[in-house]
Amino acid sequence: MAPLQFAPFSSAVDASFWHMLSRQKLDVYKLSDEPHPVLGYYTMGEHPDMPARVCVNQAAFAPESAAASSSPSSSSAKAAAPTDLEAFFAQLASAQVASLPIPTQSFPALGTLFNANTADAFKEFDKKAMLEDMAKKMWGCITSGAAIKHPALLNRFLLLCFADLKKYHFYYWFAFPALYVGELESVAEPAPLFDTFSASQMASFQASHAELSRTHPDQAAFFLVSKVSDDKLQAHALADWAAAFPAEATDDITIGFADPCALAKNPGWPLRNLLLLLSHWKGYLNRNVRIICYREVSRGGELDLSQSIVLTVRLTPLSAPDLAEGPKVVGWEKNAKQKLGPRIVDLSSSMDPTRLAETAV
Amino acid sequence: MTAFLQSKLHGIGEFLTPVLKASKFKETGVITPEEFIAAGDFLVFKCPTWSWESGEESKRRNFLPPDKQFLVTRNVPCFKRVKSMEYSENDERVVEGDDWVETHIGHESLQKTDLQEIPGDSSAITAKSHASAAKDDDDDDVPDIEDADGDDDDIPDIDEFEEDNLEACDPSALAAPSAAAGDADDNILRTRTYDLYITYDKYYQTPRLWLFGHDESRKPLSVTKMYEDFSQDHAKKTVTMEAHPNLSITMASIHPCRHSNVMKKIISNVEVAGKELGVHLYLMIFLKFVQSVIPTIEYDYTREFSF
Repeated sequence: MAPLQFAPFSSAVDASFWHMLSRQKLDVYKLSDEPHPVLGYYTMGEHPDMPARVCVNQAAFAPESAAASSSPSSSSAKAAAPTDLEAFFAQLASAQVASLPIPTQSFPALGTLFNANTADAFKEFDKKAMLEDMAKKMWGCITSGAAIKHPALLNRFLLLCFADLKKYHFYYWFAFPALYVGELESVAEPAPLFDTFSASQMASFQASHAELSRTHPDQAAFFLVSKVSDDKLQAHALADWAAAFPAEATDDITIGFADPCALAKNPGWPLRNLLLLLSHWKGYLNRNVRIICYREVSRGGELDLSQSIVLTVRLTPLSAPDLAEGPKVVGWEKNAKQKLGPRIVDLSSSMDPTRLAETAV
Repeated sequence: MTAFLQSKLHGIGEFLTPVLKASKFKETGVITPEEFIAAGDFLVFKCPTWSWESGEESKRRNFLPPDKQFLVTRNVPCFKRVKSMEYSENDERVVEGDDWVETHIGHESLQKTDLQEIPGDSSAITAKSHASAAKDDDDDDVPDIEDADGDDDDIPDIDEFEEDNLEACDPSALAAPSAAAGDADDNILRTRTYDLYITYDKYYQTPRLWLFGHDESRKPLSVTKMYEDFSQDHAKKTVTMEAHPNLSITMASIHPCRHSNVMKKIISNVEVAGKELGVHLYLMIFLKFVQSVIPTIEYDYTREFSF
């Protein structure tokens, strides 16, 4: 069968993010080049003509600022950088999503920001090593089981920046790490959701996913789907595998994820890390797994599931060398020319106070 | 300069205007902050692509709850330019009185095959927008952001930052379409997107709509380019560039000076028809009538909604 191809994430940075970064740089980071946590988010795919986006805005800095102001040692600026980023992310990933500063019906993406002091320093970042280091930490979350309990730990990004504060130019480069050990093939052609499941099955699933999002919002991005009866499906947290599939030998394993992509034949990027997690965790089952690429879109006051698709892949165990060396990683975002390179944004017209007066003329 | 002064005066005026307490919604079309919150909650409930945000802490307005300072919906697609839409008088319907015209009423959602970006013609832009646009174009000392192909003189060339060998070609990644239009293999259409914000304008006591546009590769749109997405009738008089009250960013805004009049007329028409209009519907109606200014921006609102 055809190799499975995943639609990469594209970055979407609000101008308000750059304004806040400038302020953090002047007030908090100063000349420090320590990594800082930032919070982004993605939503389910709305339109096949729109890329899947990870968005960041001015609220991306809020979790770190909140942690810094509540910590007793926050008097010095340096204390603002959490010393253990991984522990901080684990906290964020287990937080009730409603308490995070992201829009309703969106899913958190945990970012690590490195802000360079000069354009040269930005250029000289050891990008390969930085992404591999992040991959190692994510692999650690998979092998320790932390990512099963808190699946948001699978949604990470790396953001390298340089802010030229005199000119209001911002250089940046995102990476959305995807861990993998080899190419994946799809066992069956990707199919529309309603070809596989009946309307009543999906109605019951939708209600149960909404309930999961309400009671365990941190579990709504990656989930298991069990068949309660012929016309009833139920969503479960990943960690509830035993409850969802009491007979491990069952042939009817269905999982799902909130899919930021809306294409008819391709799943979105977050599925890659989920599949690696499953290969490591349940690969020994060696069987086909059905995947619901769940796309619940609000249109004119109604929720529409019709863009969701279903994939089938073979879940196989990881080989010993894979386990020894850990998985490979990819994920640097390409620039507008489709080259591996950073982007630059000029906000002088919307941020420079002297220009503000001019545009008002 | 007049507009600059006006905007400053508006700031002072807003400072001096007392917060509206009693509801005057039916008589005058204006709403109180409480009614704004109620209407916003209803909008978020009906159209979950909209959500409340708090903005910058230092810019919070104390007559609104900290977590409900303004409404926002991001990355709203704008598939084509206003001028590229075929247009005749039959597509117009006067919404109320002579203040607002609903445009492009016969136009359905766009098909991908129809979409070709038409380069903007900035000569159509007149009055103050033209003045500032011309300034943008002519003054070489001022970096501007409108060069879509990235060859702007003032933006540093970052080709040298590219690292082709950073990672091996990944066969499991779906190749993105090239940014250039017309590629037959494109399965993702590159399109402009807008972030839409609704704030409460204390001076005019109405909601106010703000827009921040991004081009096909997610670079901010210049004023000139954004004007291509505004109805030409309104671009000249109703859209201004100002600083967003809760964020330190300048963006386009639909000036609220006529909003209460239009709302009042809509409300009285509904009452003549023997129906009552709840204040919670205010923002739904507001979004429907501002669509006449931005006919190609496809934000979510309840389309079946009737007055």
